[in-house]
Amino acid sequence: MGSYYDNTSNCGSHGFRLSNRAYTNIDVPESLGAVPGTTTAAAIDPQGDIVGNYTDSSFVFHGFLLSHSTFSAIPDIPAPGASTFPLGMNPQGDIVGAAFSVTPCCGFLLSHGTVSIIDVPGSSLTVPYGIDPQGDIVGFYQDSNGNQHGFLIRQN
Amino acid sequence: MNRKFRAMTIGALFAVFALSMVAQSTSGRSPLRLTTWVDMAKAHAAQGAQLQPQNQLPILAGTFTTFDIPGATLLSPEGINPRGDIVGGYYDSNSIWQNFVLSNGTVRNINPRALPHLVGPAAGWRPKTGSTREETSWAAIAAAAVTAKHSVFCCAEAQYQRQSA
Repeated sequence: MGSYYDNTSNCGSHGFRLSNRAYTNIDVPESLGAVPGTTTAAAIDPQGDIVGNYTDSSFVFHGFLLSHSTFSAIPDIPAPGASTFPLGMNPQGDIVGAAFSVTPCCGFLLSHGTVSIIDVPGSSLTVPYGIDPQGDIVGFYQDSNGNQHGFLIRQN
Repeated sequence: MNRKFRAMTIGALFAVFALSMVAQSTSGRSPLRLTTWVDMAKAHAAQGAQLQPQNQLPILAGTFTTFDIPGATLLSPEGINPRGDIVGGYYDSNSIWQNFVLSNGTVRNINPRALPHLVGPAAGWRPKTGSTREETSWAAIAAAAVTAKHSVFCCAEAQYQRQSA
């Protein structure tokens, strides 16, 4: 799984799945509001489900889940104009990612339909990248001086 | 006298053994600097953080640790497996990108040049997620460019990738 840019002048972005030496394109359908050539695949779980993001006609990024050849939209972080970037997923379907609006917001965990915010105290940017089956979450954050550090969260 | 000498000898041997154990436990490990263990919800409450509107959502309850690899900049952990091993990348003190795995408190670098070369599916295609350096750049660009609209985001990233190819 990964993403690439095509050779068109629009430098369109597409996801792909590589399985058994065969490539399959991943493009979120326009029926979900996606602008063609704006799909990025971000993570894949052991079942082959893929999460990523796409852009709508208002230039807002949204998350998607591709499961058994069916695309579905991931709930947006509820803030006006916020863009949602899913970045990691575990076998249970828990999804981590980051949300941005006018300013970088924070990370999030979407688990069983519930969104929780991941925000390292005192940080200017928190980006969770990965989550394991136990729910441990890793990522990076930037402090007020712009220096970047790692973090590991063990959920209670 | 013999008893005293024997006690001193045993003491010296124990000291040597203890030192060797310390040496074994630290040899081959890159030092890892753990900076904080905090409950995020409590930490936010203690700071009286001014939450943005979107932060009105519940803050994830949990214990977290922040960590640094000495000499690293732009440290970017990006994945964790079921065993808890963490992978990611960082710029070392010579501004060279390094990929790492953090396992049981030990940091080891991964040399990507030892891996077989990936071939794109067609001319002009190039996997975007094949390098943690690009991912780090992507995150930084995304944070800065979401407000600058999609075209800037898209082409800024594409141009960056062409430059770094």
